[in-house]
Amino acid sequence: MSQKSSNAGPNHGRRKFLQVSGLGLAATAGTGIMTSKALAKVKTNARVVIIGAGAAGLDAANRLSRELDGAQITIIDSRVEHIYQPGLTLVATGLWKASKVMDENARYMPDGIDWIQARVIEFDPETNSVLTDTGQRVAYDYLMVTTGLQVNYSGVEGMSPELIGQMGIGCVYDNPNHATRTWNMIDQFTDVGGVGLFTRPRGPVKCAGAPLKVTMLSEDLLERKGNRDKAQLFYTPPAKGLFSQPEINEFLKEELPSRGISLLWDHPLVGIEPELKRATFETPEGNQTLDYDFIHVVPPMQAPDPLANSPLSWKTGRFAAGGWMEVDQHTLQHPRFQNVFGSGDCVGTPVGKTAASVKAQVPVAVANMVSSIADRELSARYNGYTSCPLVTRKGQALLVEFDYDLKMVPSFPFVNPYEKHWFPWMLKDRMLHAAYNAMLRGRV
Amino acid sequence: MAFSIVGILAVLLEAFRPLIPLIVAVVVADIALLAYTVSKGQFAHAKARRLSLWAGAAFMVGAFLVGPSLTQVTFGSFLSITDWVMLGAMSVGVGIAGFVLTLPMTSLIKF
Repeated sequence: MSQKSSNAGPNHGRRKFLQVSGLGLAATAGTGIMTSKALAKVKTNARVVIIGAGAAGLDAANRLSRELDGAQITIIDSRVEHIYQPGLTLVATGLWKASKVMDENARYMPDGIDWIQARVIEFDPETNSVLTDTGQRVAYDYLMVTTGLQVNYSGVEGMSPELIGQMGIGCVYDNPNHATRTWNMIDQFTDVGGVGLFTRPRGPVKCAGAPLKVTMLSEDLLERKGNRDKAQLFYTPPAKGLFSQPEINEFLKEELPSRGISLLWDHPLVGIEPELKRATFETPEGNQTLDYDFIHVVPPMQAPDPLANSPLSWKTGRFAAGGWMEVDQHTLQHPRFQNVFGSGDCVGTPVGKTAASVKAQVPVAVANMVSSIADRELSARYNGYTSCPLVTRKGQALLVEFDYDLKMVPSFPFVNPYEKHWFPWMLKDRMLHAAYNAMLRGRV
Repeated sequence: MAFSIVGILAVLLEAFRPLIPLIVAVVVADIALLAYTVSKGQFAHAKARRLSLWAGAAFMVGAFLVGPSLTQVTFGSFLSITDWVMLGAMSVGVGIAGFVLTLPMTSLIKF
């Protein structure tokens, strides 16, 4: 694999110019004359390209457009709709209407940036360019990769997205349509009962709390409908843990069985037979099959193919299998292509893949990209912050926040993160969507 | 996660974005009333303050009672003292807003 410094590439002179102008500004700021962040814009004529207009991409676009003066910023994404993905579990369990999570990317695009409505099919960091599915090659001086991830339905034999909402199959991920169809299945299941299987694949997934929330909210719904006795529920983790944070893992290991949800350890789902309503799990004792009336399928996830197949992905180590983007876990800079930064679901870091992670990662990635442009040291650090309002029932949740060390880092010291409260539910139901939208505008 | 004033205001702005035209109309009307009552020398007289205190208290009690239902649940979902304290604190905030918003109106009432 080739090594590449930030000064390499076809636009060495251009980058040098902007570094020098950035240095001048940084020096001025250093005198204390310029104390306002608004005045501390870095002058540059750099071409900055952002791949992906999801949460991380829009947040980065807004921040970069505010922090850079003169940069030519381009964002590439074919999607016009914006989905508030943290709300999908609530849609899938009948607590929110699907319309509540639908939005438009255009509402959050900052003025003065170019939006290429296309999909990137090739990353070429050797020549500092990307290729779109419309055949356009876009050159950059600095690249922010925020592609999100790809749900691999084919990773479960017999599964396809078209099956969601039929024959007892649900899957909360990807879009409101899937969530709505999942709700149709959960609504039916909680009316008539039967065997409910709630799965979780191997490897990182976005919002790792979502499979647990769907499980607990389905159980709660059975209870509220008075049909709890009619159903047997099973949660099938791929190993012997439920959650990466140890104390919350212990909490869940008590909570689920206390509600009659059986835990089938080492049961990653590998196949389904929709017509027979039968699921196959790869266990240490060999493949085992279970019949179901409802199954919540969580397929394996990976970085989008163009990113996974590019020189930007991890080539060795625990993140190589999913093709996740290689970044320094603290600076979010690519270690080999130093004009490339990443944030959001696509990066291979030990903790992440939540909207809360995006909220913590993007300011770091942007600050470090701006520092790189200004030829300053990369001083911003991502500590692995992530958060999950772990909804246990309608109206109750745990506010779980932790970092790379898996230590709890509560934002509200008066809220015990190990106890169920109404307050985190209130945040989830009424406030976090607003916080998310503010994040898209780069304001939190 | 650290909080900033700008961040909190940005979140509140997003939370109330659909209601911004209404909020702006109320605030403008309130400022106009404030200016009028100040110019007449009758802003926040004792009777007005007393009436607005009652209005603020009504807002506070109302917010306390409807708070859980705004989140699709009942008081039955309250599991800890934290929940009650948070609802109480939010209701006090609504009460203070009610007091401040009604004060220019109640100041119109003659001494």
